Amino acid sequence: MSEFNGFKKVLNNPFSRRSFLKLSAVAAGTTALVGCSSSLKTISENTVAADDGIKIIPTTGPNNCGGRCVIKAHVKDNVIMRISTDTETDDPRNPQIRACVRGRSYRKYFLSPDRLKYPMKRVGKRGEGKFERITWEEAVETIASEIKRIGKEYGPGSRYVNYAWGYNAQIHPMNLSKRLLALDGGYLQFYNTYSTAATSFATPYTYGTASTGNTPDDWVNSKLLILWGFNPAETIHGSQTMYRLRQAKEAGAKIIVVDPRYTDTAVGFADEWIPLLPTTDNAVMDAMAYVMITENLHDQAFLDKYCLGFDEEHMPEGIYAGNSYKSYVLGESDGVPKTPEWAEKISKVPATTIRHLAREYATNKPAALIQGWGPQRHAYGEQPVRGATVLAAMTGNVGIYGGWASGAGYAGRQRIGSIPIGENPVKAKISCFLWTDAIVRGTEMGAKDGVQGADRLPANIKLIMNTAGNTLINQHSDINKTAEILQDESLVEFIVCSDLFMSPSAKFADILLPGNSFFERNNIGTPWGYGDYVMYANKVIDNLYESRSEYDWLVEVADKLGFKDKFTMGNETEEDWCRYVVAKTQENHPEFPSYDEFKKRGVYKWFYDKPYVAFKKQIEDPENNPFPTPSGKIEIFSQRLYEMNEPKEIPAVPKYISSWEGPEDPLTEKYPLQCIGWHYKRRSHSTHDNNPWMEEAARQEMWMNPEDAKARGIKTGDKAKVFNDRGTTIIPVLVTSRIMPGVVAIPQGGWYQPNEKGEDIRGSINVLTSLRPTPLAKGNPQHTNLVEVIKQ
Amino acid sequence: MHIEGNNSLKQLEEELIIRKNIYNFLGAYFYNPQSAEELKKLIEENPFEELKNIHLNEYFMKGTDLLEEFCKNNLETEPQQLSKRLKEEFYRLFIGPERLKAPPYESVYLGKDKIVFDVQTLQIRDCYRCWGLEVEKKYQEPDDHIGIELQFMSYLIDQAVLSLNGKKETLYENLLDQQYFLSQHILAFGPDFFQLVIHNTQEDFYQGLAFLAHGFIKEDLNYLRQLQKEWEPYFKMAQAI
Repeated sequence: MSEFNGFKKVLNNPFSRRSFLKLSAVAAGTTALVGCSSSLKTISENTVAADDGIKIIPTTGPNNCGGRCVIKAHVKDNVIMRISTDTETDDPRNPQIRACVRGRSYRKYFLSPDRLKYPMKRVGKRGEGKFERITWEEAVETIASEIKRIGKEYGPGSRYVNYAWGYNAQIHPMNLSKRLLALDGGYLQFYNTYSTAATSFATPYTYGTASTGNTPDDWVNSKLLILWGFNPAETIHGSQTMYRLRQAKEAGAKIIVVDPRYTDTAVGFADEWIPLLPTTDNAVMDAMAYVMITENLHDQAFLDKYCLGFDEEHMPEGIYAGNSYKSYVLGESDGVPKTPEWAEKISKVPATTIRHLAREYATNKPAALIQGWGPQRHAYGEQPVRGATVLAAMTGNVGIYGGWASGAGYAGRQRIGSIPIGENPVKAKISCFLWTDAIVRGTEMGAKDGVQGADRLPANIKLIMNTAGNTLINQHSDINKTAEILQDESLVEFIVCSDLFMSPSAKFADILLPGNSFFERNNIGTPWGYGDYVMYANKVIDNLYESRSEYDWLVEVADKLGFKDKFTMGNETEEDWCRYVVAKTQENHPEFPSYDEFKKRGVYKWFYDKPYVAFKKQIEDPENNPFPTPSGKIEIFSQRLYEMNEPKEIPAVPKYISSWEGPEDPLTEKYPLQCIGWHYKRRSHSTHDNNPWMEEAARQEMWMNPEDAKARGIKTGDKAKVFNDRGTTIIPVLVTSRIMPGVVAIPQGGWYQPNEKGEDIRGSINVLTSLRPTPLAKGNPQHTNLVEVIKQ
Repeated sequence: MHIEGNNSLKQLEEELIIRKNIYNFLGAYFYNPQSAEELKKLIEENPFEELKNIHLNEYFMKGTDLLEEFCKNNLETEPQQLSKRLKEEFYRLFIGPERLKAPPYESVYLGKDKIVFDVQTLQIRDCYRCWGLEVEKKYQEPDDHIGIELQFMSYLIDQAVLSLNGKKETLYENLLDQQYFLSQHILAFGPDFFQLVIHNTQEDFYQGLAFLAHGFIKEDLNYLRQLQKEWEPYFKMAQAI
């Protein structure tokens, strides 16, 4: 440093001083000074009061997690100093609602410097990611005028609100967008979800409803729990679900996990793990039925009394012989008895294991065969759903304490108010999975494509509102194809996205709006999984930068479109709507506390003496309580399915259907590995993928069996290329015997990040998944993929 | 130094004004992208040409070199175009929408969790409050943005100039505050921030600006320490009276 002159010395030298004076003059002349249009101002009198105290405010993170946990924000002068979670004493009737790693990292995540800060418009090609900052006025004006223009040019049915669950709460941005368009002449509606399309659609063919679950406080009454593709340790199906599993375990229940992966739930609780090849669930189920029938372990009296179509003696009139489930299982109709040996070849589950599983389930009553939603997110996802309902009926486990009817398994005892979407003048509906088809060939789509409410769609999709969701790119199938469709600006003419970060979907916006996080808005929410409670998500800090809640700007759009009052119904703010939600909830539940008390406490819990048991009435008093099916019975054989006359893909009784891109597909010669996804403990779908703490907690990596890895010279930590005809992703590998040979698993939700060759480098599974829908529900088969893996 | 002497007081005032303007300049340039007119003026005046020969420190020299070159090279560039290009770079580095290349917030560097609106934000808010100031976009934008902090230094120096011409005994405390704010805040994270700018920017302009700022704030702390020593006796005298 000695060769340098100090600043003081420099300034003392008249020559160099003059140089600085010049810089000083330029600086003074060109830039803003404090007080003028700049960053600092004099404190006005009324804001001088400094608030030094820390307030603890209860809230909750309503992203698309199956749980909804207590988050307490410790706030000082609009800064969240830290967050904590539930510290109430455990009450076994309704235990603590504690946050997992995801909940505990909300502060880290949502206060990231990378948040979207200002409204923007696209300036490059769509999807290229080039944006320019605009004002909120310009954004609102553009959105309103595009809604108007496209509605006029192509009809209201050309406008679509995409599946978006970034906020899973009573004030729901996706539903608010629908409400807006409903008031402006309508929009193309969707049915189904990406989570439960097949099960929500297929379960009612057996039971007449998808609400087939008991509440989990009933699990203590089970002697045996078979968790079939059910992994609540990571997916969280309700914040208290693991507590309930532990209670059941402590009460002596045996727990068997059926899953291609030895999941975290299995590690924690399973007495046995039975891996099977993806898409072969029904082979194992059919063989279980075969064992029960041939060993006379099934509950014939239950089947005779409550069910339709199990055997030839209980079939609807006019159906030819050989169509019962029993005939199918014994091979009387197709000459193939569904023996455990038959199933072993298909599923790789040893025949002895299948026999043992069937006997365990049939002889340990009450028992609960609980299905997760992974097995139904497959090419023929309707079949395992119905297959398990048949097993539940065959073992007489429906409608009793400790039993479980299988199928979708929804169970809710409360009715919480929500914001009405309003009457949609457009009646046509598509499955939410088929929106890319509706962009390309909407007007050609009819009943065969699952269109409801109209013979044909009135228009192709021309406008998309994607408010708080990442299904526009990342969570939809076949990202490369989807991107190609969206990039064609002559197809969809306008896309508006609201997001917290520059997500892969946000990149495809024409107008991109900065959403605020749950810390910055009021809301009310429940888990989508199980739990007898509702939570108030208190706003704890002001909006960061120019971010806003969707409601805030949608009101302005509604104003521009001329129906602000109808849109708001007098509710200027989200807090006004929270009051509305509480009032509606109070109508259903007179015991519900006052708005102020609820807001202050942050959580309201219901307490019950007994668990809720689905179909208890139907079983105890069938005369007066028929099942809500056409026959009033549990329909093992469904005449409605029979009449669809698609016996190969939509059989009237559940069957094993050899799947495209399953283990028997000839394509295995080219792509020998089955690739499934799973809900990862460090993300809620794609939320948290860009949260650095969560990458530390559980990095993005693919599971591969040592046998498959050895054959490819791959070791743990190596990067691998995973590919099929649809795309390529690059991802580090974890070599582990926690996954069965022949199967690889990529945790879903990694943010698609293409390199210059168009290969994804973030292990985003949806570059590999297919747009071909399931036959009945038109659902997403996102776990049915054949791939090859090579060392990168 | 004869602090009572008119000449040296005048000289001191001039020094303070130089520093005030430089902080203001740096603060403004790290807070907002600059307009075409401002850039045009900067390029035409090229105040870096003469500074080039001043051996303040390595960073400062590197900065003046880069900025001088930038001005020379862009004499013919269309100012609107240049402004647009630099604005894009400014957003890429400091605003988004993609992941920021150089987050401009103190708490991201000094906070345990590397987030915005953290303990450091409150500390900075207190510093501003002590001087009767608050940020324009309170609660909406973090108080500890490097651009705002540099402008706050400029404000403090401006107050020092006022003291010099008025209640001289308040100058000493002001100098302590300047030193404190510079050493405990700006210099505590600035070097890391400037390094990120230097390594990630695609524009010589921002690289030059980061080098210049780094070099300047480093030397300015030494300047303040010397000044404090010079003013200490005067302060003690004033106290005794």
